[in-house]
Amino acid sequence: MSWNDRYLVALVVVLLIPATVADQEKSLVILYTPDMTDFAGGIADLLSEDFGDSCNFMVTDDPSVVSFMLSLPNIGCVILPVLRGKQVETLIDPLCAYFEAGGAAIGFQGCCGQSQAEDLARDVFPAFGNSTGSPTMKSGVPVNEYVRDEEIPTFADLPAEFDLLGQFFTYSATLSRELLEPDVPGDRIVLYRDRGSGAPLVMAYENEAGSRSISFTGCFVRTREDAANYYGNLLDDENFRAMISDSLEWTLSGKTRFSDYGSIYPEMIEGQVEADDSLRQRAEERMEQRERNRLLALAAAWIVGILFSFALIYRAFLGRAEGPGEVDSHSA
Amino acid sequence: MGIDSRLYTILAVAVIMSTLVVATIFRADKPEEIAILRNKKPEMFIKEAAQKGVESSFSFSCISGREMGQMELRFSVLAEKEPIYDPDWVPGEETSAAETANHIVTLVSILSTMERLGAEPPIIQRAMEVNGTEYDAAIYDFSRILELFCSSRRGLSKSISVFAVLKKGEEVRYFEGRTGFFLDQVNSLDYLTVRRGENRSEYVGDELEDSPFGILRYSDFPKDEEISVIFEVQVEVDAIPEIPLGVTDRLVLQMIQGYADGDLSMFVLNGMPVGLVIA
Repeated sequence: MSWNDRYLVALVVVLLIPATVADQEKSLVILYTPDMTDFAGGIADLLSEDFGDSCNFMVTDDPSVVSFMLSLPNIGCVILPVLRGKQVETLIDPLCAYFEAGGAAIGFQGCCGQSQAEDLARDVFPAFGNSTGSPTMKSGVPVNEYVRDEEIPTFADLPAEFDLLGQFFTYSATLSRELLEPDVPGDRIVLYRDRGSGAPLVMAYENEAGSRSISFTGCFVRTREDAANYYGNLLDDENFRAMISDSLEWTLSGKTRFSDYGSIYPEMIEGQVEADDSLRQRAEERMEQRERNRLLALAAAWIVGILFSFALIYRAFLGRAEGPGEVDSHSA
Repeated sequence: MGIDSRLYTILAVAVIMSTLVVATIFRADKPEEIAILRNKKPEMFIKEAAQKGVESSFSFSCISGREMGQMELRFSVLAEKEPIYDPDWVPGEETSAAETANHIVTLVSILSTMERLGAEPPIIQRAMEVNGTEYDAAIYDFSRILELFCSSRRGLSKSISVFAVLKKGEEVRYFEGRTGFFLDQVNSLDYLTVRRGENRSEYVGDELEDSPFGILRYSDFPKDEEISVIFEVQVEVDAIPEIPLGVTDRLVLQMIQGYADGDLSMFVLNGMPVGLVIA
């Protein structure tokens, strides 16, 4: 069974298990990639070791499912191991709206290039990528050289300098390829930079709403096992494992949909049903009252009509029948 | 004094006639809760329609047949997609739209997730005529429940929340869509006019950011009050990736639902074939 099949089956199994109280207390972490579900599955596996007690994980290659899920109340984080911006084309608007309203996200290189990821590369993963940097070859393997810049305590377990598998990285630059540091609302913290170019390789961002994202501008890997930058080698790297785990911990500590709605959504759903029922009940009561009033009005009109008819008939016939008798007696 | 028997007859006729009149009034047909007055849409959806001289305006109006505690109109737009079924499953000629929906992979995931959250799947099943063809339709509109968890209707209109399956014989048409007067409303509408009774609101350009995003909800709505919505769509060639260029055998659906005190009492499904951009 391939990784793809494995995760499709896992996804279906996870979704078909009846909801339990424990499930309701867990947030859902979605991993979306249209063509690297094995890579996403590997990331889900290693994250579930640290976060299995607090999060459920779901791997999908269906952008429609992701778009829908972004509105759900139990979403903890969205992880996008995507290497081409075209692959998130239909998700740009939903992801920007999700992040704007309070949601955690972790994005790879495909989310960081402006030409295809557009607003996603500016508002959610503010790399503003418009240039591509090259790797350093070490023992025939392409790596990016990570050098720490600013510090966040959550990432303190990572070394100050290390190499990580990756072919290209994207960054923001002028036409003459000079590094640009974009000005964005909120806090943009560059955790690691490329040793040679100084371009950001890992960026933490917290927007004004309190949503947090981590951008990996490098980590460009391939699915072929014989490729020098095969994703499996990245998953086996302790520094990558620590980095992705720290990233999830940091983003989940910000404002998320689960932090907003996780504890109250069952009551909210119940409340909506009750509100609809109450509306219907009030409408029924109003209609019954109106029907009763109408019935009473018609009954009254009917009685008045009959009495009126009787009165008319009495005056027209009975009155006339008595009238000639009196005339007769006078004349007698 | 004896009364003429003919008089009894006249009295009896008077009683019977007045009873019949009252009964006729009592049994008179009640008006529809929400009655459609106008429903106009373009014959075909074409990107950059105005440049090609093609009509692209939508116009809808309705009237309330009774007083309501809450009156709600919901507009959604759905784009057609190729359905992906469970492995080894193909719809038969007699398979219903609802049964077909239960084998579309995207819907299976979503229905299971909603069930786990404790939300009832909001399905509408009925025969519908769309673009001149009678289909068996199964429509899932999750937007009412998702709206609970969205801080704004603008935010809700960005994510997929409505699904439709139309089936006729072996033909299956599958749609995914969002709330809003049109997909990517702020960028795709030229103008929007919403009128309730004598109150009229118009939105043009940047004002569209503050416009209602397909959901019109009114409290204490009187009888015989009219609502009308008019807008024109102008979509750039490279906008709305859900409707790809060069595809002509697909439909775009406009769905309009009217809720009277929480109950669905009016439902419209307008189908528009997607046209080619003529050079």
